[in-house]
Amino acid sequence: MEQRRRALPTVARAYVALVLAAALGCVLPALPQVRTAEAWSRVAVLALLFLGCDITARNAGEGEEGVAPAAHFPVLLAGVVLLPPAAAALVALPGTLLAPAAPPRAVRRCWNAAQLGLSAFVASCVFRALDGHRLLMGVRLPALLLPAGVAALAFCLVNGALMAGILAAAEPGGRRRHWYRSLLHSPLPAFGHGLVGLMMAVLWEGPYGAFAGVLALLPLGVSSWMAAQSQRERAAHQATVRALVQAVEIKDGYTRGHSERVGHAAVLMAGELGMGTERVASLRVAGTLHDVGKLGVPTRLLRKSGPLTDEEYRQVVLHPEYGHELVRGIGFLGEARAGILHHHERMDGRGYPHGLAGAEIPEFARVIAVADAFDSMTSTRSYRRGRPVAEALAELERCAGSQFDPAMVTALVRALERTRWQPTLLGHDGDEQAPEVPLGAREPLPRVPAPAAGAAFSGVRGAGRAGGGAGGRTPPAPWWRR
Amino acid sequence: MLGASRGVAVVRVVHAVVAVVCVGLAVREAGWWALPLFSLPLLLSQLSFRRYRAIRATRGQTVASLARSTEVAGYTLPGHARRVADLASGIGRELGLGAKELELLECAALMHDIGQLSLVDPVPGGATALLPLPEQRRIGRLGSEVIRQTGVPPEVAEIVAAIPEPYRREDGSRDPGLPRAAAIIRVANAFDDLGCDGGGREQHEEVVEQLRRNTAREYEPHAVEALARVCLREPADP
Repeated sequence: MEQRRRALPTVARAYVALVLAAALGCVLPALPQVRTAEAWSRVAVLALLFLGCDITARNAGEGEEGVAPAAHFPVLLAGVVLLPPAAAALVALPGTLLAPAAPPRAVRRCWNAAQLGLSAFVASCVFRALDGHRLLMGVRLPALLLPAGVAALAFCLVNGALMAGILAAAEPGGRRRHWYRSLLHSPLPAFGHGLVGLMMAVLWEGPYGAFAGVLALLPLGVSSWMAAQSQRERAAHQATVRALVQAVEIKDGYTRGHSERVGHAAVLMAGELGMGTERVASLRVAGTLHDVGKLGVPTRLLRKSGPLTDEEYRQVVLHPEYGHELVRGIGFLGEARAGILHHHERMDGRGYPHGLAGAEIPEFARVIAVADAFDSMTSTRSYRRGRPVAEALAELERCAGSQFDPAMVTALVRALERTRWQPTLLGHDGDEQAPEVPLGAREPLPRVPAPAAGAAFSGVRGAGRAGGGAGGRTPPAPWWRR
Repeated sequence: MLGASRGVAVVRVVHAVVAVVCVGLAVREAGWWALPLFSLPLLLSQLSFRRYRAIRATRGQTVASLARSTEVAGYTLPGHARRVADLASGIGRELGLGAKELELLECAALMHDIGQLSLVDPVPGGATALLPLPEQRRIGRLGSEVIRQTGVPPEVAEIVAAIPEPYRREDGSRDPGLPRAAAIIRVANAFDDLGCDGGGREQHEEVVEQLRRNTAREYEPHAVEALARVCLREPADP
């Protein structure tokens, strides 16, 4: 991206020039044949519409990728169907030339205009070759579908090929915002948009002319506006989830950034396990919120540096249930709630809160347990340095079967073969500049150098099971060793 | 929030009407084939409304969980954040705040006690309004620092930091930088801290009187009057 902004490789410039020449070569000789005033007025209206759609889409989807493929496509397609090839190529011209573009501005604008113009030109030629314009005159509907469909396909193909060319020439391996991609990724909306374009053309040919044509575009504009709104809501939801995480981390300052790293590691593992997009999103939330129940545990216990008494331990092990209770109202979480409730279960059935074993433990919980342990071992905390990734993985493999699901451990190992784990980079945004609130805010507490909350209470878990009395316990071993 | 969803409902109706008109025209023009063919994209676009509703509901539920975080942790009485948010929204509407301001107000009210989570031991009864000012300020500041890191609009953090501030300074002048929403939440919070254990109308009146006595410096008089209108108009807790 940066590189592209600074300079365009000569190959890319040559490629742009070539495409531009091709577009001009196709359009200019054919232009004098467009004589009727009607055709020109159609070009003007469609070009205005295109400009309008472009501006709306830009405002709605500010800074966000993957927003619905704006209403561009139907407008262009209506042009392809309604206009002779040379005129169809002009529809995108004002919109692309006036749109803001990153430098080198002129090159980019020319490129966009040439690319869309050439695609529309070819598609319109195809439509006419299949006798579409005559079918449109009589509006013979089922028969009209064939040329219109083929023309739309031709448009996508030419556009996609040109795009692939420029990407290869300008930035190998880079990515850019371009709307045709979503067309390729989601055939159903693309098909729907194509139909809207055809409907526009059909209504345009009717007695109400341009007015009816524009009307057909309105529902589509509304739905892309709604998509932008949904995107905004989604971002707001993310912010709320982060606020919940922050709330936990004020209380349990040792684990700064831990929650989000666990969410991240869980997502990496989900990739290896082949989960669907919906489940991955749900798992990310579950991983991020897995310790939200610590809100219900008195801060004194979370920050206690010595071993816990039986009574204190009983309060601490309640945290998965508090967490489950706290997120119960969040409808979509579903499977994620089970993950939060059971993330301290063990494969051998000696975990809590319900002592489930093996496959009884929900899959999400098994993923989170491994991600949680992994991050606890590798992150550096105020009282100890993080362990190297390889060592942590070896430790997980040692505990696979008794504490962790071996399949999940394998998934993590494989995922980390592909991605480098950077524990420090995955904290909150701007972790470095952020004031040291959760840590600095801690009330002065007589703290002896000792393991932290997490270590303390699991240490006690083992001791408690062994039937030890209340009060002073032996310094607990790290909890993943049990 | 209410206003926004009403807007969406209007848009949805307009969308449906336009869609019906379009399909009708297309059928007239191109015969019955147009009906299934052109209804399809319009029905698909109706789906986007449903998706929006779902994500909005989810967000609302998450916000509710967040509001409950201080009470689950035992720092505030059950329902405190929600009550303060409702009360503050009521006052804000009474004072004619815009939709955007109301949204920020509600968000800040829901999170106004989050700074308390940094206390090792809860304040008795969660009543921050009764704490000494420096302590209140510290809690507000901690809360706002945390909120700043969450990605909600930065104004929310500013509001939360300003809640402990009396609306007039020592010398009697007003601080022009003090957000209006902060003054509102301050009043709503004080009302809930002082009056929530009883709940009868007389007690509400008594608490309002108590706040009125402090309008010289502590509480913004317009907000207190709006509070009086809001809570004395509604039937006392059923």
